[in-house]
Amino acid sequence: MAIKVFHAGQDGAPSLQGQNGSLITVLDAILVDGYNTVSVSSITRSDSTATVTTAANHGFSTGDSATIMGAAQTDYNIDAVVSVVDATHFTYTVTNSPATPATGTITVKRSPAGFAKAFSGTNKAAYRSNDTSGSRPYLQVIDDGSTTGAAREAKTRGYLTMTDVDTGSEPFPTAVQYANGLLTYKSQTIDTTSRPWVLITDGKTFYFQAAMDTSPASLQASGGYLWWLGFGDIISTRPSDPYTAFMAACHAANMQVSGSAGACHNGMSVPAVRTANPTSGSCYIVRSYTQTVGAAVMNQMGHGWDQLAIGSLGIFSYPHFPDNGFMMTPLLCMQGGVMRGRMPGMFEPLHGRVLNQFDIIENVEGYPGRKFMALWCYALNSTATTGMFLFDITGDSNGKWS
Amino acid sequence: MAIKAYFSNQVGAPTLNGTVGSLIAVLDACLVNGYNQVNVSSITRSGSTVTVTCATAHGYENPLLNYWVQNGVGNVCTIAGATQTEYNGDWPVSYVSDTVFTFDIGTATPATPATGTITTKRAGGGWSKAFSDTNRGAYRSNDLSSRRHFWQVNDIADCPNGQGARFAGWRAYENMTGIDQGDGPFPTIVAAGTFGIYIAKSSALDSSSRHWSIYTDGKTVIMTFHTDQGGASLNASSYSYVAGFGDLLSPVPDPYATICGGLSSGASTYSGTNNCGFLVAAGGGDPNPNSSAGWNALARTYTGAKKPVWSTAHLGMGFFQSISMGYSGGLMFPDGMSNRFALAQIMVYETSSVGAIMRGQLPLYECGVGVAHSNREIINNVIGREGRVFQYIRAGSLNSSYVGGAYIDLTGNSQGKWS
Repeated sequence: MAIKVFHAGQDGAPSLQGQNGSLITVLDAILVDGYNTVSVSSITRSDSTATVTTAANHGFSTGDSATIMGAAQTDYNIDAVVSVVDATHFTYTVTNSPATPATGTITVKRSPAGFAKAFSGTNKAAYRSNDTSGSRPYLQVIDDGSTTGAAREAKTRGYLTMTDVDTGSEPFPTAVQYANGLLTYKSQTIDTTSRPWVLITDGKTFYFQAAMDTSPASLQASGGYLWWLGFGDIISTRPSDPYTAFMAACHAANMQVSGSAGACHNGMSVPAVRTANPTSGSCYIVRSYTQTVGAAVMNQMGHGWDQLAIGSLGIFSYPHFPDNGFMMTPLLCMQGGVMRGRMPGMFEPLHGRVLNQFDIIENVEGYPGRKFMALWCYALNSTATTGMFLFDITGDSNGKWS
Repeated sequence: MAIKAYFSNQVGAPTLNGTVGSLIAVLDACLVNGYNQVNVSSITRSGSTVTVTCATAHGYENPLLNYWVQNGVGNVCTIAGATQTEYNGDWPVSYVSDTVFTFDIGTATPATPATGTITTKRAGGGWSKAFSDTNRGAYRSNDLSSRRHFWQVNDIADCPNGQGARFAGWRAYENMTGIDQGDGPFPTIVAAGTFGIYIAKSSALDSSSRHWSIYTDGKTVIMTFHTDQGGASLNASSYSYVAGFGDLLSPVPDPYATICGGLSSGASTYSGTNNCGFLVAAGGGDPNPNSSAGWNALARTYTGAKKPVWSTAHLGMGFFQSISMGYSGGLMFPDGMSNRFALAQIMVYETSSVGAIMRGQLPLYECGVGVAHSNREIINNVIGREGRVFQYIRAGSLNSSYVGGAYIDLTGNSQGKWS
């Protein structure tokens, strides 16, 4: 397993549009199916290294995960992290020394995140991680244009369990908290313009960003409409905590139409210091720390300085002069004054927003060998304040956030 | 080695008051000489446990009766005069009775009982008084792993604004050859005048004793002064300061990350909690640590330029921004998930034209729950710092309306040092 990064600029990536069902199309491809299936001309093996030649461009970068299918020698048919040789060649590691060259009708695609589509309906879906080490909450997506922003946005809500696409228990947020759940934004316009997006996941938790004002490929060019959907399991401070499921998006509908208001209520980027004991918000955890039934508001706390968006305030030189380093802090999950845990794979810089979208840094103090990707976010009520997260794209020895 | 704690209300402790030289007496006793020497009647050993019976009261507090004491940390004795020399040295003690204590001698197995003319006292802090003059001293760590800069303390009632012996002044030097001869002063005379950094001893110009606490690992000294309090209740003090001198714990090799901190001013604020250097919070206290009224000086800039800097503000990394360290709450206490307690390191930074530079860490920690403990209260069971014992030291900061505090590590690392 590995941390996986998906984005709209990859070959065969699905298109996010202001159309009903578009978010489901995108999430199906990323979470469940993978994409960009191409035919394999040959696989040869030398020791444990398999070299794949594809009939068309494979579209991978080194470090991406590929799913190889159809080889008669089934030891080739795995999900593997690839090393790219050129546009039509890559290598990966196999075990058990299968016969070389491989035979069969072989294809390869970008590996999916490792979720299942547990339930579905017309413009409806419920997704769930396949990783049994997590709490495996459900994400319900209703992408039918039934809110005031119509096809610009989709209704999204977490459930601890579900029995069909419309029915579940322990929703987060609850219907009382938000009748429409939290809104995940797709596009500023109701049309077929493709909007850029990126999704980072360890197979249990994912963070999804879309820039609904920009066309087509540049998240950096967004004028302040970077929206987030976060879903999965926090890393709890309590051992064997069954209530780790969280979801973050936007609690208000139709927020895309009025300029600077567009970045409001972004649940991923609200610092806890701004709202010490919130009663409403845009990030929810399935139960309170008391374990009584009912979702609770959660915010994030990193360095704790008073700022409008996570990662917007930085005081330290970059790179840090004495050691040419980069400093960051884990993001704590705060339910009011209670530390529920940490956000998996997610960090706040101490330097402010000093990197561009998609920039990758190494040489982070305390994290030897790990790579981190920078992504931006916006403040609660202002597009003028830009923050930044760092996401661990290496993971632990199991390719997970821990 | 061990972290050593000294308190104003210990048996034999020196008195701090509003007269000249009292601070020198306190520092001589705590850092250099130790105090309360008594004769030892017998020393016996069983395994690694050594039992010391004294002819008179040894002065270590009974932890069952004194909430600020825990066996095995803070109270450290010096044993001297035993013929079996393995017994001689500094040892953290455990109270048994007013005349008996024990310590752990580790793997040594000297003969038992010990023989010789044996004495014990509260151990000195592992510092030397390199140079002295009347009511003055220049102190230096004996620890060769320290940066071993010099700390010049002047307790001679020369406070420039007429406060007299309510205040002492101090500054540090990279090197000294005499009590008045030194290189690389920090802060410089230009920056801070001849008086140096202010430290408040007492709100009154008299011999009423004031409470204090001093902690050292032999390389760094952290001190608290309760300048309005001569009585029993440390918690009632509104005028408490945290200041000190010594090595910062630096993230990278940094021969000039030595801090000398105190108060920025003695003008009419001797009884207030203004500008308590070690607990001024970044952002909340002073977002511009290069302001003319500094609290803490570092030996040199991050570039190594021989230009002493008013460093530095501080920040409790990871918790809510606070006017003074430990003032603002927000976190639940104890934590609702774990029924425990979390602490964040207090970092020191220097601002520069390229942005702030992290210079190191004080051996102090901030909580995010506000004032949750009594002064000198012992805290075990800190999340992520299992096995270590912390003590709360209460202080004001910046403005008298704000009371905060910090937590100090009484355990140290395996070498008994802050790290």
